[in-house]
Order: sequence, then structure tokens, then C-alpha cells
Amino acid sequence: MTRAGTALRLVAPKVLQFAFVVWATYTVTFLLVRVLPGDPVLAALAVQSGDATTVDPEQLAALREQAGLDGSLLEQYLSQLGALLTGDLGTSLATGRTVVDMIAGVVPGSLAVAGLALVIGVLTSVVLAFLASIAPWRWLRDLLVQLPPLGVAVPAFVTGLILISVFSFSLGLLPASGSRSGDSVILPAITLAFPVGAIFFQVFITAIREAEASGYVFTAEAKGLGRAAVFGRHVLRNALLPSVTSIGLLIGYLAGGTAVVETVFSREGIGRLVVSAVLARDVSVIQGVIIVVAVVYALAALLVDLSYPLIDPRLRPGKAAPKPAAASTFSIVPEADALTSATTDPKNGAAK
Amino acid sequence: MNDNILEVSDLQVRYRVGRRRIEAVRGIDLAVPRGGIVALVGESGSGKSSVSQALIRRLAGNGEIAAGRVVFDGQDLLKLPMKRMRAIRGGSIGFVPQDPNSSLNPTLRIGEQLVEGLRLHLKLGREEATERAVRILGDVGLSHPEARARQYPHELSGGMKQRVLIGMAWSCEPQLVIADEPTSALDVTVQRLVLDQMQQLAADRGTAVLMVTHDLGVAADRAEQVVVMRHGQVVDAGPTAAVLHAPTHEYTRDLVAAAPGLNSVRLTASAAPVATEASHPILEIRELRKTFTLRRPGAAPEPFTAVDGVSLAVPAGRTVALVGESGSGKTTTARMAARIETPDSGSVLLDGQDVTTLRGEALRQLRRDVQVVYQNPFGSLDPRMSVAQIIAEPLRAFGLGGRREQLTEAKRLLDAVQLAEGLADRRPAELSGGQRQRVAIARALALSPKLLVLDEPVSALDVSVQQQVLQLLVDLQAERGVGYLFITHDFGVVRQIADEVVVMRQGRVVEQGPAERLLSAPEHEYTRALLEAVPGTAAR
Repeated sequence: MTRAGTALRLVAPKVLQFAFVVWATYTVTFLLVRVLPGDPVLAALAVQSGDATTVDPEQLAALREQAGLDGSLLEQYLSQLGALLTGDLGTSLATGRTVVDMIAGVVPGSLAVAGLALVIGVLTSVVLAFLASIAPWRWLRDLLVQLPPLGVAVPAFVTGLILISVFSFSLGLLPASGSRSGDSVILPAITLAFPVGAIFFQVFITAIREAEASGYVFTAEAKGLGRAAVFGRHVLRNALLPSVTSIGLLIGYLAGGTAVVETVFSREGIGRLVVSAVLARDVSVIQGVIIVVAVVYALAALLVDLSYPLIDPRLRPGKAAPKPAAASTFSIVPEADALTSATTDPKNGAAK
Repeated sequence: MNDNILEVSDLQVRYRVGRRRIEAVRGIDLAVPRGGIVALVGESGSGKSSVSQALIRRLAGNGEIAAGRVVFDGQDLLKLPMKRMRAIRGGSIGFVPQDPNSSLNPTLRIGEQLVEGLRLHLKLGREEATERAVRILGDVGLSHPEARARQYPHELSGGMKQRVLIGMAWSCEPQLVIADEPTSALDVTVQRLVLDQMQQLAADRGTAVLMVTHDLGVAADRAEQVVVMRHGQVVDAGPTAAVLHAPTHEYTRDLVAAAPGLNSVRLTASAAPVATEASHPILEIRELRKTFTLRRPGAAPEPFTAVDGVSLAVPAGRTVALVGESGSGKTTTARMAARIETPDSGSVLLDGQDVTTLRGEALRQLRRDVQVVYQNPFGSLDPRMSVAQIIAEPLRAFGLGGRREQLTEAKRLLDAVQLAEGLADRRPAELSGGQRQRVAIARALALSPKLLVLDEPVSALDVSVQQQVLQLLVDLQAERGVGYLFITHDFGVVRQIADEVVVMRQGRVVEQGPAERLLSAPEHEYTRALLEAVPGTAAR
């Protein structure tokens, strides 16, 4: 088989899975939004001009058509799905702007905060785990391992407010709110990095404990390697596999879970956009945001899947197994055990 | 200065488990002469592995060395700062670990793992170290060492991995190599080659070896001196010939008597066997065949024939041993015989009835006649059930008798497998390995089956316990006239229990026949090789 063929065989099913996840999310969201009681068009008008608006039925029908909310459920579904494929997410009923515009406006800010939070969270975790693994005293190791769960336990608005009062009001180093200046990203990112890093750390430290108890780490230490070399060359890479899975999940969480932090720091962002859209029953914006989040989520999962073989050689496409030698010709040669390898491996493969 | 490279005195090791302290090693003395091979022998729980790990000061996290001296080449290792200890680990003392399959880092190439030690201790440059690593792989008998150096551990078989680890232990010209059960995870033929390799290296380089093993046969074949441990203490020590061939100490004598490799005769039943019509086979399998499909990422599915036209018959009240190395297809054959797996072609006859295609309720009813005992007595019993519940479960499943009768029957079965009635209320976790396997046998007998399929029933047990369980099986067979299909890789066990032997290799039967004939005058080359590889045979 050619190299390209092998790669295609490996990647194609995962890309299909990606497309399926996005499509399924879209369909479920579409149905859910339609099942909700109340008329989104009326709700949108109420937001624009107050509750006691009287509406001309013809005007209402025109608005419906404009929003793609006319016709049967199936017609709506098909026409919106068609538009989606061309990159058109529709128009916001509440603001009259296109959904693509609205999302594109807030994505860079959200991306900066989420990306920085992920980097800070993961790096801090790795450093903490390294220290916890090489610390010479047991009490220090235990302490370092016990710290991160606090990151999950303390809610984001509390950490956010503490950070603001210290770094903005007392020290005056960083802006407390807004999204104009570049350094306004830092405090929200740190706030988000707490839960993100804590979740990652817990998965990571478990994987490290497991690697440290393994036979190959014993071999490495029996070889005379120091703690740092054992951690860097033997523990880290083996502990990475389960941890990368959790990074995929965290990216999904970051794509949609930033509303609280954006509110605390009064920033424009995906989270706040969706909150205001839900309050205004702005159907097309809700759908649009969910699609974008689903794409990010599925993309993260896809990348995680594709990264496995890079980290773990056992998951790389194998060469065809050598054919077991004919049973009739037996000879004891120093390599006789190679024959057992050919016959045992397939059994394991079959068990899966 | 004397001629001992290693002298251990009053070594004590203990583990903290919760608030308790467990004394694993209670003050042992031990000496290894320069260039000599010493075997440290003991059953599980004797503390022998703790000793080997304590010598390089690398115990599990909750373990500590409580007292003692470990004098290596004139200096007490227990007093060295960690930094100098690391220079000795891998540099002057090599270590061959127990399980080759988990002892190499799966994410690093074989060559890189060897290079690490060479650069650290011999201060070689990268290129020089890489060259040396390739040479070492060649030295330990791997073909195409250059290609092997670039492979990952999962691409090598267990035996090849153990060779790599042996090469690693010897890579920096150590004065002492500690080998902790170096071949327990390997097939006998591979085990022999690997041990030969170690002995050769030790002789060529003049390295002293401390070999930790549970296998008296291995010790008898390879060591000049033997130290026997029990409950954390040395009970017997001296030259191999004196300790193993003319044992004076009671415990050593029991061990030697129980070791299948050293001493193998057919066990006889304690009572006269019930009369069975030996002519009629209780189980007959004909031309069984099973193919699995292998799926690998990025490769087309590939068929793999695990069992290829196997036929055999088990007479009532007799034992047929199905012998083979890992991957020979013996377990798959047994699973098809018990109708846990469905064959692709061929037929399974139980008591003359074709049961090959039974399904649903009919297949369930078949379980009354065919029961299975598995290798691992720790995994095959539900940890939340009491012993009585476990044994009575088959009776409950088939609605035989009321609750009280089932309990009475469970107690009767406990008695039959020589367990005290008081154990009925215990959970499996409170039992030893041997006791658990007895419970599993009692459960299998609850329905009075005609056939027991025993899949490596004693290979997880210590030799002395193994001996008792085998004797029990022989007695039960004589009492009840049940037929055994006995799967094993161990020819010592075959000798003790089999009436007929079937040798399998790569899915096919290589040779079959009466045990006496096959064991004394094997016809096939492979059978002969398997028999010769049994540890302890060199000594006889």
C-alpha cells in the first residue's frame, strides 16, 4: 500500500465522523429551537420596540420569510441547511445584522482569551507536575498535587474579582475591563486558566502516577538516570496520551463556556453573544453560535485523534505482519522467538 | 578485600500499607562471589523481589530499607549519596527486570533506550553510542541489529525484548547483574535461549549474577550457589548440588519435591478410581478450525487462522493434556471444545452427540455437562459474593434444589476440594491463590459435569500449592469419573497429570499419543525441543 493510501485510510473515517457530528448538532439544535414555545419573530419585535407592539399580519409574514421561518418544518430545514453549506448562517432578528458578521466580530477576542487560558493552564500544570515528581520531600509532593483541585472549586467570578481588585485596583498593572487594549486579555485568560489547568492537571497527574509505577520507569532508574531525565524522557511522553484527550475536551469547554468571565470583565465575546441571543429569542444567532462551537469541538476532537499516532508509535499504521513459518519446518535458532512474535501479536489484535 | 563482589548482611525491608508496616525482608545475609552465579529462590511473598530492588535502592514508593549493610565492591551502598548510587546503577550493577513486555518504554526506539545508559556511564558521544548499541543488539543474538535498533518495543516479541534488556544490563560492563525472574513471562523454548544468553555473557565478561527466581529448575540448571528464602528470611543456603540435589532442610525438601521440572511422576489417586468405560470418549472434536480477522489501523483486515484442523478425543475419566507455547492455538481449541467459541468448521461431539451448532437454551443446558476452570483465580471469582454463593451459583442458575439444599451441597463440595467448612462465608479477597482455585474447581463440579476444561489451572500458583491442587484434581477424577481437557504450557505438569498428550504449534497438532510414550520417546522434533527446554532437566 502506498503511503498516501495508508494516510487516507487512517484519516478518512475521522473526517467523516467530524462532518457527522456537526450535521447532527445542527439538526438537533434546529428541532429544539422549533419546539420551544413562543414565536421568535414576535419576540424579536418585542425586543426592538417594547412589549405592547401591534403588528400588521402581512408585515409579520414578510419578516418570517426574511428570517427563513416560513413554510413547513422540512422546507425550513432544507433551505437553512442549504444556506449553511454556502456559509450563510442567516440574519439576526433582533439586530438585523448577519449572524456571520456578529460571530466574526467577537471570535478574535474570545479566541485570544481561550487560547491564552489553555496555554497558561497546560503549561502551569506541566510545571507543577514536574515539580511534584522531582520534589525531594514527600510533604511538598503531596502539597503540590493537592493544590490544583482548588482551581475547579473556586468559581470564575470569584477568581476574576480577586484578580481585578489586586492587579487593576491595587497595583494598577492591568485594565479591569473592556477588550480594546491588548493587555486586557491577560486577566480574563488567567481567570479561565484556573479551571482549565486544574482539570488538565488531574488527568495529567493520574497518568504520571501510572507511568511512574510502570516497569519501564523502573528500568530507566535501574539504568542510573536522574529524576529529571526519567521524567523528561520516560514519564512525560507516556503520560501525554490520556492528557491530550482531555485537552480536546477542554477546547470544547472553552469554545462555549466563557460567558461568566466575559461578563465579569465586560468583554465582547462568544459567551455573551449567546446569552443575549437566548434572552432575545434570537433563533438564528443561537443556531449560528452552536454550529460554530460544534465545529470547534469536533475539530479539536479530530486533531486529538490524529495526534495519537504521533505520540504513541503503537498506534501508527503497522507493516503487514510477517507470515508465520510453515509448521512442519521447525528449527531452533536464536531467532526462534521471532516466530512467536508473529503468532502472538495477531491474537491480541483479534481480541480487540 | 575478599573475593565477594556483593555482601549483604542483616538486610531488612518493610512496606507501609495504611498504618500498618509489613516486614517483607527480616534480616537476611547473602554473598555473591566475583564472576559467580547465585540463585535466590523462593515462593511468592518470600521477599525475594524486595531484596533485589533493595540492592539498588529502588523499592516501590511505600517501601523502605529499615536496616542492614549492602557492601558492593568494598563500599556500603546504603550509605552512598543518591548521586553516587545512580552512577552505580546501570554502571556497575546491571538489572534485568521481570516482565520484558512492560519494561521497555513504548514510545522510544530500542536503540535510543540503550544509548541512554551508554552516554551516561561510558560518556560516549551520540554516534559512538549508537554504534555500540547496534553491536550490543547483535551480541545478544538479535538478527539485523541495525534495523532492530530503529524499531519500537511493540514490534519485538517477548523473548527479543528480554534480550534487549539483557543487552542493556550488560551494556556498561557491570561487575554484577541482578536478574529478577528474567524469564517467567516467556515460553520454555525462549526461556532456555534467553538463559543461555545470560550465562554466556556472564562467562565471557566475568560478570557475577544474582538470579532471583521461583523456579527451582532454573536455579538447579544455572546457579553455582542457591539461597532459599521464605517469609522474608533465608532458610537454606549453599552450593547448588548440596542444597537442591540432597536437600537437608525441610522446606527446601518440600520445594524440591513439588517442583515439576525436577521431579515428575504421574500422580496417583489416593483412592481407587471408579470404573468407567474407558473405551468411549466423552468429548470428541474433529477437524476444528477457527479464523480471526486482524484489524490494524491503516491496514486492510487480514485473516489469521488460530486453529487449523485439530482433532482429539477425551475418554471418560481420563486426562488429555493440550500442550503448546503462547500463540499455538491451544486456548482457542479449548474454548471451542467447551462451546464458548463457535468453530468455523469441524464438529464437537459430547458423549456422542453433536453439539457444534447448539444455540440459546440448548447451549445453556450443555453447561451442565461441560464446565471450565480458568487460569487466573483472582479474576474468575466475583469479589462481592461469598464462597458458598459462588459455589452454589450454578445450582441456582439451573434451579436445582431449594436454598437450604444448595447451601448443604456447597458445603459438601467445599469438603470435596479439601477446604474447611468455615470458609463458606468468606469473600474471595480473604483467600489465598490456591484456596481460590479450589473454590473455582468446586464451582465447576457443582453440576456434576462429565467434562472439565481446565485452562492453565495451576500456572498462577506457587509450586507447593500447584502440587496440592494437581493431587486434588487427580483424586476428584478418580472419585467422579470426570474427563479433563487440561491446557498447559508446562511439561512438568503434563508429566504429573496426563494420560494422553496433544502437542500444538501454530494452530496445528504436531504430535499426539499416550503420555508415557510421548514423554519418553517423542517422535516430533518440536516435542523434543519443548521437553529439553524444561528447566531442571539438565540436572537430572
